[in-house]
Amino acid sequence: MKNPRLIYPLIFICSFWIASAETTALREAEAKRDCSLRATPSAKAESLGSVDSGASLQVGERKGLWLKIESPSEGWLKLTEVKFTETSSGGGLSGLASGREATGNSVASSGARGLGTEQLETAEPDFEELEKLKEFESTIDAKEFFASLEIREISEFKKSTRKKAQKNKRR
Amino acid sequence: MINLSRRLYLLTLTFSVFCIGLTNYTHAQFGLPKLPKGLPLDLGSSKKESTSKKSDTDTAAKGLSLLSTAVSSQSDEEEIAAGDAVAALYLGAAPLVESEAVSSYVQSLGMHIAAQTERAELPWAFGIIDSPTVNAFAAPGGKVLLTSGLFNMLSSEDELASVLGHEIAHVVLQHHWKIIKKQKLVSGVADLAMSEVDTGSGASEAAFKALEGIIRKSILSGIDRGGEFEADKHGIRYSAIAGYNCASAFGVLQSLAERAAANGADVSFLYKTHPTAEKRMNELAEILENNPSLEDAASDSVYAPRILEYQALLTPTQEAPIDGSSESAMLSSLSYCAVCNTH
Repeated sequence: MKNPRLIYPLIFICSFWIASAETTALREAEAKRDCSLRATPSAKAESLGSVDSGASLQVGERKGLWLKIESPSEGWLKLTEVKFTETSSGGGLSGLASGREATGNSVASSGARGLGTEQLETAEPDFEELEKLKEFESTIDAKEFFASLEIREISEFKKSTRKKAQKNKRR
Repeated sequence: MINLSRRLYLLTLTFSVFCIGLTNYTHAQFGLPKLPKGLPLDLGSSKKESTSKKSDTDTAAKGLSLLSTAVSSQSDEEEIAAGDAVAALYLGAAPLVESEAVSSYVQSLGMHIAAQTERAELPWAFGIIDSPTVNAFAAPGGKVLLTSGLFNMLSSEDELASVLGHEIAHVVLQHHWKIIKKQKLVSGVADLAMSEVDTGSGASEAAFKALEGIIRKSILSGIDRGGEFEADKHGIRYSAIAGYNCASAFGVLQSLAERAAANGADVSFLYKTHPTAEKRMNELAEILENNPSLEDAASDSVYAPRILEYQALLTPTQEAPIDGSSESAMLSSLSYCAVCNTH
């Protein structure tokens, strides 16, 4: 290669390509309602057929708010039409997945280097490190660094949203 | 002869001083928290107001408003001191990473998102702690810590924004502080000890001594499921306001679900204190369904790939720390083709 410096951007492009490659594992889910499978991730895309409410699905990659359905037939469904099945609570993490109920089960990263129950139970506060955090000044010029971002106006949530959703679930 | 407005002013002033005295007396008598030093109770400025043409009613209202501000800032000071004690405990378990570039990156992005919230004035600080565990922690008062394990798991700056948005929401909504405050009030000893904590230097050490048992318990228990769903919900809103992809939270949750499905020890503590990723995704889908305005914010920002540069800097520090010069050189070369083909 004439200019060896060109290797750096090439390595970066390759690493980005590898990192962004589709490696998503298939996930179990079901259809929340009767809906149409779309040929592409768009509400305006051609309909490939319908999916019945409650139908079991195998979900692959996600593009924005759309999910690629691999089974029972291929197509795209909107994320809001799909309900994920809890597969991660069926394995060795079962009993840990229920939030506060699991309090007291000390199983976090036993034997592994990490930050879990044991480490936090025995840790002593490090106030020097806290000062480092508090006094740290970023070397980044935020105005330039975030220049292309558009600050959006998004209205606050209505207080009843969650309650409504829970009511609908009960029905 | 003293005119009527002057008399009313003196009456208001006397009443205000009486109220402050009474408040301090009550706090001293009943072990309530002291008013912090440096309160915005500038009586001199009140005098200036009264000599102007503003009505005496305004002056009285201002006196009451100042007292209300005093109580509010006192509460903030206590929250910040307790939160700093919480953050110190996390930092005792795992130190900050050494990379100045990565720390600057997370600090700047965190500040950018926090600036869009209702509590932008808090002393926010964001850092990455050196641990392969996948988790993030929000301490009351605005200190937010991410593990390097989580940072390296993310695939875009938008995903980082969604994680920071979630933690920022915990702080804004005072999830952890409400738990600590409640436990503090239940324990008369802790409450009394906390009332003796002065603001300023040494406040976090004193707060830790006063609240150690409560802090350790709250860290290990986490908050309830409702609080986590609420932080997800407000977090995607904050990151969307800041210009990032609100749907990127699904990307983070998908990664967590995959690790949990593989029984990864690196997410076990996170799963102990959080609902499952599937439940969180289902809840978020409901939020999106009920708030169509968020759908317009569901595409990646132009800065999405920028995180890869910083992950490349952080990964080697886990095994062999690199010095500042080599770090700068690496960042310089990597940033070449990041977003806009410029340095």
